[in-house]
Amino acid sequence: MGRIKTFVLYIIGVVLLVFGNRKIFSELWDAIFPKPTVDYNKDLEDGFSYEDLKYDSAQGRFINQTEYYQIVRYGDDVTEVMKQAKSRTRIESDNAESASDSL
Amino acid sequence: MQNLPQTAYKIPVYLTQERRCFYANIKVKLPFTCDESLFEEIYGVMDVVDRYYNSYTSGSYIDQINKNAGNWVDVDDTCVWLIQQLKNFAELFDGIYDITSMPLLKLWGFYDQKQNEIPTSAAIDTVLKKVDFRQIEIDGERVRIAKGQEIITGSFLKSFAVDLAMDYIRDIGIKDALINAGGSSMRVLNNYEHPHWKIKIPFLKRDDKEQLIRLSNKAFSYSGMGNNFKQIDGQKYSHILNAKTGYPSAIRQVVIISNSSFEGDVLATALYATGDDYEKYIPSIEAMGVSGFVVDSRGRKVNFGIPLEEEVLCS
Repeated sequence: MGRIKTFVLYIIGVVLLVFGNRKIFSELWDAIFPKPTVDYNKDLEDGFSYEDLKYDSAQGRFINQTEYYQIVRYGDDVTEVMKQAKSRTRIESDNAESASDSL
Repeated sequence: MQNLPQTAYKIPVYLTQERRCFYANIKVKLPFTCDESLFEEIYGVMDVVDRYYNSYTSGSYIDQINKNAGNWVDVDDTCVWLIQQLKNFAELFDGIYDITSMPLLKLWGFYDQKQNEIPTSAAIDTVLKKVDFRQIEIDGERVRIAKGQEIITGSFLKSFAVDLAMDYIRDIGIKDALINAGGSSMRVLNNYEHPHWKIKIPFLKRDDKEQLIRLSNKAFSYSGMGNNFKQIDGQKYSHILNAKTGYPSAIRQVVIISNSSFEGDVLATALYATGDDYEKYIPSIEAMGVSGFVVDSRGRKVNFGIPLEEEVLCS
């Protein structure tokens, strides 16, 4: 009887080890069957017109005349201002905002 | 146990990011359910405004206009729209508000901060000859300013960017959000579940009470002399100058509630610049459907437009 009890507990332990931690299981699954990379912009871009900014350093100005801001390119081609960005997302409630005479 | 209304359990939760742009910290608050990647797009909209129209950004349209003073410069229709609107506001305020006041700001040392004495009246008179919005010419999509003139975008561009960013947020279907541009310009969206945002107005004296304003689907603009001033011989001088007299205004606070941040920011700056003549311009501002209040140099508070929903907090 004692051996059956030990065996049952051993089986439960193995099952919990394998299936209890789903993260290990899903990571293992992803390692075996890696997901193809999806280009999310591909579907979006069809609905918009866009224009890359062209800057002529000799003239010191933008040389293309964009019509409006339909889509904003943001990624590797980022300005210094945006590089300095504090981009950490916080969670807040609707606490009161303080008015100030900033520039 | 008595059932509490469901709203008692609801605490609005938002994703927030704050980034530095237009020399200010710009905070964006979106509902918790939004995708974090939206922040890149929203700040991206503001970044485009910064690149194309900021007088401090090398290569922007306004920078080109300033660098080529005396010559025509090709710009886009948004730039033309902005300049035309600002000329109209300058006309409304009899030139007290003027986007060509950069030489005046430089004279007072608000640009490089090195100057630390009151300019002579002769120096002010000389510089005032360059400050004149009427000399900005528009021909189709070309703009020309007179030689020696310089446009400054500090009084309106940040709020214009806030408007574009908020329009973008609304267009993608978000109905509850806030953009706070340095505390001086805010725009909010509200829905039935979250009917208003609260804004704290700074108190002017230590024993004053702090005020809260409730804002719903509107823009809030603030001009005051809390942080941005120059102290010369113990006297504080505001960075907002009357472009007609050449001297800083002594008004203490201006609050404007309007439909757009651009309009509100320009009106707050312009009304502040009028100094003790502010009452003359209040009827024109009220006719634009704008509300707010002024605390003048004597500490008198004058409300205009629809009364604001206020509450007083402890100091």
